[in-house]
Amino acid sequence: MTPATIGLVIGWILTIFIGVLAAMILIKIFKGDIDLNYIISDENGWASLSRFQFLIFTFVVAMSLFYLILAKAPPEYPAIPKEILALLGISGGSYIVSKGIQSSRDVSLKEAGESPEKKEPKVTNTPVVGGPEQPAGNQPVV
Amino acid sequence: MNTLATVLRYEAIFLLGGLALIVGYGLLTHQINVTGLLMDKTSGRAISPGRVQMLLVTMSIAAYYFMSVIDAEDTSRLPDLPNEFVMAFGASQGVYLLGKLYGRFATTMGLASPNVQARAKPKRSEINK
Repeated sequence: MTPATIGLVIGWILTIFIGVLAAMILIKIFKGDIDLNYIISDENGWASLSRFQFLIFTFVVAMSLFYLILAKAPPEYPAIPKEILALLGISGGSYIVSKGIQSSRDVSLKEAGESPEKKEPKVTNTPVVGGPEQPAGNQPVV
Repeated sequence: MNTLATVLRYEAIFLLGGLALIVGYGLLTHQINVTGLLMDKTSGRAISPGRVQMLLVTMSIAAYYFMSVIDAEDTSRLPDLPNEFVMAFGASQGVYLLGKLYGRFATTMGLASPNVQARAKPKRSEINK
């Protein structure tokens, strides 16, 4: 078996593995087994702008990379300019500082005997792991 | 080898495109929770100007960058983002964080509006107990 053949076999194994994984993830999301309801929410149930920003940048950078990789023949991984890294760094740093401010406020409220305002979680079809037995259908997510 | 590359290409389109569609659809139909995205959680106001400007700046930069990727002639590297955009983004984040910091300490420093002060007073009295 030549190195080229081995490379081809490994390539096919990885391709099939990634394909099956992608299909499983999308099917589980579609069926509601993977719940995306709180993908941009903080621990109190409110939507977080920082998480939303991360989501947007993740999609933009991932799609841009994918687009450029496919644009070359043969495919090649493109260089990433430092401005993009700075953008992601600013976004991440801002998220951490924002969480620090939020946590300090929550701690103050708890010390004052008043818990931070929480938004009631929506009822979804995601079962609670280790939770009490509930009828099939809608079950609350904790 | 060409077949392998083609299969991988369709797989990536399937996964990335599928995820983007699901998340986009979820956001538009509110299946993904967006409650309070623009709300000022520290002062309790319905709309926070700092959050609105940050959302606009984020979406503008994301759209601009994606368009510049599509228009890029040199495909060996991701296109550069002008320094002005990075600075604008940093300033936007700074304004948002300063607004949040102000909301956090405004009540304790006596700088908040009467409504916010009124909301904060019972908490202080509880601390004194």
